[in-house]
Amino acid sequence: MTFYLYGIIRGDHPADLSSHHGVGPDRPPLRVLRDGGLAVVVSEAPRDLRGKRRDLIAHQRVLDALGEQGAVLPFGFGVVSPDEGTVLRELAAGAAHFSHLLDEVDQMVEINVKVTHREDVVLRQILLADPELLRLNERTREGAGHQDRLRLGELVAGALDVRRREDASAVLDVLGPAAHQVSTVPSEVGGPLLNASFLVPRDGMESFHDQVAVAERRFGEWLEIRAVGPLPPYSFVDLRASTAA
Amino acid sequence: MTVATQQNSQASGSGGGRSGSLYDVLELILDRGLVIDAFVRVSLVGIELLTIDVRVVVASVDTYLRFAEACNRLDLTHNSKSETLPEMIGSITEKGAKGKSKGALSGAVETVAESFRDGREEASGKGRDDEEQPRRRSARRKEEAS
Repeated sequence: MTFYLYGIIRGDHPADLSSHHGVGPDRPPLRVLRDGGLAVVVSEAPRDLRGKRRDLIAHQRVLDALGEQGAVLPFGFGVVSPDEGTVLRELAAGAAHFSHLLDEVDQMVEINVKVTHREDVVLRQILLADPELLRLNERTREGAGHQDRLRLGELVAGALDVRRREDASAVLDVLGPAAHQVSTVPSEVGGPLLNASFLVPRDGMESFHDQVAVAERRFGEWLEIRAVGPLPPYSFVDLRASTAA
Repeated sequence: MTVATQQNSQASGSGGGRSGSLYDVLELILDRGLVIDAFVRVSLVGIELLTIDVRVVVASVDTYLRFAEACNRLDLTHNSKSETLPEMIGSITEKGAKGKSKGALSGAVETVAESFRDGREEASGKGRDDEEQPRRRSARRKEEAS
């Protein structure tokens, strides 16, 4: 039987999932496979897993429930194992590593923060700060040539890029100290200027959100700051990807 | 959207389980999490496009022209200082995340986000969650690119 995997927990985790179900159209029941001091929460894998909304939500809810009851190492969506033997073998093989990670994320939640520019506000700031840009803007507005238009766009794009980096680092400075670890995704043009996940103690969420509020007070005029959580520690179960805050 | 998540997170300070909008956590669910070589990650055609589509190619003539246009549209005579900062924040908080108008790039990104949300509302409204999103998205993208 093929198993769909949700997360790794300690053997003594309550794993009370009676009101939850697994991914797939048949809403399969959840099962706990145990080996030594660890366990894996699984369900029978649907034959055709296509990542429907319903399935993503089911995946997320199972992990939310597990996280509220104890430490869990979440799998991403769509991880399957061909059989029970493979699951148990891998669990045993990685036991030391998993135990260590479980200690790291115990009593912790992930909060993901995405920051974007309020573009009109920032563009305005950029133009008003540079007489040459203001002049170009006036000229192109009155219908000046293609070259001027390109020049204006290029200069503004460059200035925006600088602002993205500065603003990202300013927000990180405010939020970082309220977290144990931070994991950032490299910023991509068109995406958020900051996409960072913070590992925060469950009982420290309030202080973290206080810091989010501080950042909003300070930068809210030109930055949109979205904090989402508590989440299972998706970004902190791979030691390679995380760095100490 | 900002407001909703902020309020949620403050209200659930003690650890309520709901985790924000699916769109916001999508890339985490899809891209991160425990990796173990012996297990297979099934590939999900369609869904992965969502995260890729958000990436807008910028270093292009088109983008420069869009920025120029966005700048030209700004009303620079309006004095932003006439609104005091606390008022500004008040109004931002009330209106939520949405900027008053969409800029060149953030507009594109929001469109993707919105089409995803719209799709979700549609789905829950009609009690079906099977419809695929990528079609709408690519249609929107073409508009954006032209």
